[in-house]
Amino acid sequence: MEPSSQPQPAIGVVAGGSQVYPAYRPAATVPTAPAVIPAGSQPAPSFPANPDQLSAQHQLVYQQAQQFHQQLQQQQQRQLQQFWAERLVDIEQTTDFKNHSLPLARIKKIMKADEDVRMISAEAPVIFAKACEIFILELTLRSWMHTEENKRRTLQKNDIAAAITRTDMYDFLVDIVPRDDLKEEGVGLPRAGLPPLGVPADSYPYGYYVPQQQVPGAGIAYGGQQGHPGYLWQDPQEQQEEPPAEQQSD
Amino acid sequence: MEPAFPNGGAAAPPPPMAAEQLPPAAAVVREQDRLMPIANVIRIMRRVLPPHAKISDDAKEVIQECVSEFISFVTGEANDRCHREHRKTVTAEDLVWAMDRLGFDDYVPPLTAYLRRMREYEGGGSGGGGGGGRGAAAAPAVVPPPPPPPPEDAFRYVQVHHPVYAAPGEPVQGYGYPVAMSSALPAPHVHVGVRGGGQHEVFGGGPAPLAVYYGGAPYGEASSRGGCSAADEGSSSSSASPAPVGPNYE
Repeated sequence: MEPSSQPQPAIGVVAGGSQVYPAYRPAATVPTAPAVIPAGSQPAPSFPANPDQLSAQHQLVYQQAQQFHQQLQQQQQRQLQQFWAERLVDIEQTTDFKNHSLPLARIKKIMKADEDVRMISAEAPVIFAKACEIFILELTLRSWMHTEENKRRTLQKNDIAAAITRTDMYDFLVDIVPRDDLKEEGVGLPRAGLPPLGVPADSYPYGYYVPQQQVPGAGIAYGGQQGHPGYLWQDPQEQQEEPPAEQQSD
Repeated sequence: MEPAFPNGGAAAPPPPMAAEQLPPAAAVVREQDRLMPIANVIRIMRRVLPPHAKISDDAKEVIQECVSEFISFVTGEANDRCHREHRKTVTAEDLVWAMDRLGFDDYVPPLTAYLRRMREYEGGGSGGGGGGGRGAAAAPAVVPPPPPPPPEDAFRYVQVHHPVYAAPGEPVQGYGYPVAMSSALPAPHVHVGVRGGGQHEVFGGGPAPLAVYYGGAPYGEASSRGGCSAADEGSSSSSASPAPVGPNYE
């Protein structure tokens, strides 16, 4: 849900925009036709306005969104690299192999839920306890990145859905998250364009200024998404998900 | 990268290590045994989240489901390997191999190190010399060196956003970071924004160049969503016609 902007700030933003718009015109005499974008629509509609002008405008908006997206990705990549370095250090410093963060008996029961599994070595649940710990940590970290992108402090279900759709190795989890949460992730994407608008406003009170830019920020991301949907939206590939073992051997 | 463990199953299968087989009754998995305890899951999640972070209840449940799915997913793959090699016991090495195969290759170095340290802790009692040899062979892969630094522009932008992530508990202070503002200013397209901002008192004495620049075009798109906004758009167009701004920036 997008917060409703106040009338006065909206007017200010529109007035400011009028100064930027002419920069996109190839000639001063070309009339400007506003592009119609259905609110909240997932598919990218075709624009009925001047193709040349919209193409240039689209390209510029897309480039800005892409640039920011790349920088955001680099930031998150660094977070993940640090995460894995910490995991290795954490394990090298482990001295307690008796207590585990997850109960081994429960792990064994889940493993044995597969009728095909016969015998399990004693070390297997121990390794799984550590693996599941890392799995929870990484999935939580990736989900929290989405929470931060949306300026929230509560990790929600749709943040986990976003992390699952963005990461190929989580394809096997697609069925766990309902479809509406996957769709909601699309709504979260436009907000990825919000931070660059907020940063230059450091001279204004944060709470006062940023709400004005939320709608334009969403517009930026929408433009980028509609122009290049394949870039921003990563469809989960269910085909990569391998089915559980069904074959039996004597 | 190749799996850390050599595929020695065909040549010399490792001896079963304290293998256990659960009685048939345990095969029946009750609902409460299907998931990891939520308290353990939350404790692990909090280790990677900032102190002020909150976790919604549905997010906790989703993570529980994801962990069980992860265990079943990896166990199925590991068990398939056992069957192909005519073995009955799923070992820790099988699990690590399965994770590598299923895209969790980042898990291999820490888990390999964990397995090695666990066996050292046990004094290498099981397997004797053979166990020691396997431990040596299972040396963890070297953590890849960090990627080369990003381009200058990207680095400036990353610097802009660093305060936000560095101090999540103090968002206002993060946005007030002076270096971030100064590093954003040199962007070449700021000139258009400055002109736009300068002519409107709504933005106060200090211009917000990037905000104005980003805010213009997308708001034009966003304004088409409502009649009131459309009226504002008309007003902007009218005010822009007398004084067109300079050439378009690509």
